[in-house]
Amino acid sequence: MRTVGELEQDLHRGDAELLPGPDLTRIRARGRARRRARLSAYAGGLAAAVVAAGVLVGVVADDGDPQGRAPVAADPERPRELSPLAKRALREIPGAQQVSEWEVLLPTPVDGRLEMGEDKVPDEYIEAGPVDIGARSYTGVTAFRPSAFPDWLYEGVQDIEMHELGSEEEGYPVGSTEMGIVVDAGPVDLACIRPLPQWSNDDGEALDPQECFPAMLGQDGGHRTYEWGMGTDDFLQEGKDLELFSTDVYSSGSHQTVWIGGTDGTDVATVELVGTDGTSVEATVAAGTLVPGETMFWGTVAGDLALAVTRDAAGNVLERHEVRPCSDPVDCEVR
Amino acid sequence: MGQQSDQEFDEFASAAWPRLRRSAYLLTGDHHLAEDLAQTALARTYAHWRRVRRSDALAYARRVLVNANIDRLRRRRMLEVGDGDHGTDLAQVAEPPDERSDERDELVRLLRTLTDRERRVVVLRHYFDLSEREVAEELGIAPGTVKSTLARGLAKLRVSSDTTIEEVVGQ
Repeated sequence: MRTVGELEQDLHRGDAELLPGPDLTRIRARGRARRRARLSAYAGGLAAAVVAAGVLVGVVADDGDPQGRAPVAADPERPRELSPLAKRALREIPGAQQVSEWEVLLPTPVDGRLEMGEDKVPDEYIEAGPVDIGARSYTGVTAFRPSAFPDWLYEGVQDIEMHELGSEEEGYPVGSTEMGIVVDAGPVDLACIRPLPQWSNDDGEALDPQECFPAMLGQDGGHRTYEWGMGTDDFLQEGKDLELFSTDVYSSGSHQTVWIGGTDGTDVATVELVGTDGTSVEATVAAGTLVPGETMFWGTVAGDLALAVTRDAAGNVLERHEVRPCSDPVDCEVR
Repeated sequence: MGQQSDQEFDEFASAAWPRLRRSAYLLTGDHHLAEDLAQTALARTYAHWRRVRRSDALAYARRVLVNANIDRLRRRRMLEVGDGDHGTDLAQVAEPPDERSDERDELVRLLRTLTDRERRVVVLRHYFDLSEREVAEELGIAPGTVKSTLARGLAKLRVSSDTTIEEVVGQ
C-alpha cells in the first residue's frame, strides 16, 4: 500500500535512471519526412521537387504558407470586411492603413521580431546584390515581441491563433495574418548567395559551396537574414522554361505584386510583364550581373499577371511564358 | 528549418526526453515501445516546430505521445480481437512483459493491471501533474469520468492513504 505522494515518487523514479539521450538526428529526419509528406500530399509532386532543390528548405511553413508574404487579397473565400480587431487596430495604431477590404497594414514596430528560425547570411556569402526590387516582408503581430504592440492587440491576435486558426491538438500558428492584421517587417532584397554551411539537400548531402543562387534577404538589426529562395530543379537550367515568383507588396497603400523571374543564359535584353487586363510593365533585367551566366528580372504589377515575354537585343521573342495557374500556397510558389 | 531553430529544438528534445521516455514506459510497460513512442512524439513535434509555442512544447509532445499510444492500442485491438471492444486491459493485448524491468519496477507491473484509460488518467494526473480538469480536456472525456477512473486506478495501484485519496479523488 502506498500514499499518493509515494505513488508520484515511484512514477518519477525512472526519471533519474541513466538513459541514453534522444537520437536527435533520427528524430529530426523523421520530423522532416513527416513535414515533407504533408506538403507533398498538399501540393502534389511540386513540393517535393521544390524541397529537393535545397533552396526552399526552411522557407515553406508547415501549413504551406511561404513566410514573409501577405495573403493574396483577391481570394474569393476571404472576408469582405475588417474584423473587429482589425478595425480597432486601424483606429488606434499610428500609421495603420487599410490595404484591402479585410486587411489592415501596421508599420514596422520599433521592437524587433522574434527569432523565427531565419538564418543569418554573413556578407561573405552574398555574391551579388542585394538589390532593392521594391519587395517587402510581411508577417503577423505575434512574430514580434509582445512589447511591440498594445496588450489588447497582441493578446487578441494570439487568441485567434490559438482558438480559431489552430487547436490544442494540432498546434497553432504564430505570426499569422489570417485575421486581416498584417505587419510590415521591412524590405527584402534580391541577392545571389552561396549556400550556408549548415544547409544540405534532401538527402543530407552538402550543397555546392561555390555556386550562388537567387534568394530574398531581409534585414534584422545589423545583419541580413535568409527569407526565401527560388526555383525548382529546372530553374535556370538550359532548355527549361523561365520560372516566375511573386511577393505581395502594399507600399502604395493597396495590393500590388512584385514578380521576379529567372531564365537560363544572358541573351535576354528586355522582359515585358503583361497583365490580364492587357496592360504591360517593363521589367528590370539583370543579364549575368546578379546570377553568373543567367538572367534575372523583376517588376511590380498592380493586377493579375497573365504572361512574361522575354526578348533579345534585336527584339525577337525568346519565350512567351504564361503564368501557371495554381490553387494553393505551395503550388503558387513557382509560376 | 534554420540552424537556430534546430538548436532550440535539440535543447527542448534533450530536456524533454527523460520525461517522455519514462511516461511512455509507464503507459506501455515496454522499453522498446517507450523509446519508439517518445521518438515519435518528438519527431511530430519537430514537424510542427514552427507552429508550436516554445513554452507549450512539452504539452504538445505529451499529447502526441498519449494519442500515438491510443492509436497503437487501437490498431492492435483491431488486429487481435477485431472491431469489437472486448475490454481494455493491457494484459490481454500487450506485448510480452519486459521481465527485467518487471522485477525491478513493481509499479509498472501494477500499472499493467489497469485499463488503458485508467493508466492514461493516472499518468497524466500523477506523473505530469495535470489537474483533473486538464486531464479531462486532454483526453476529451468528462471530468466526472476522470474522477471515477482515477479512483479505480488508484485502488488497483494500492494507493490507500485516505486523506490523500480524498484530496485527489474524493472531491
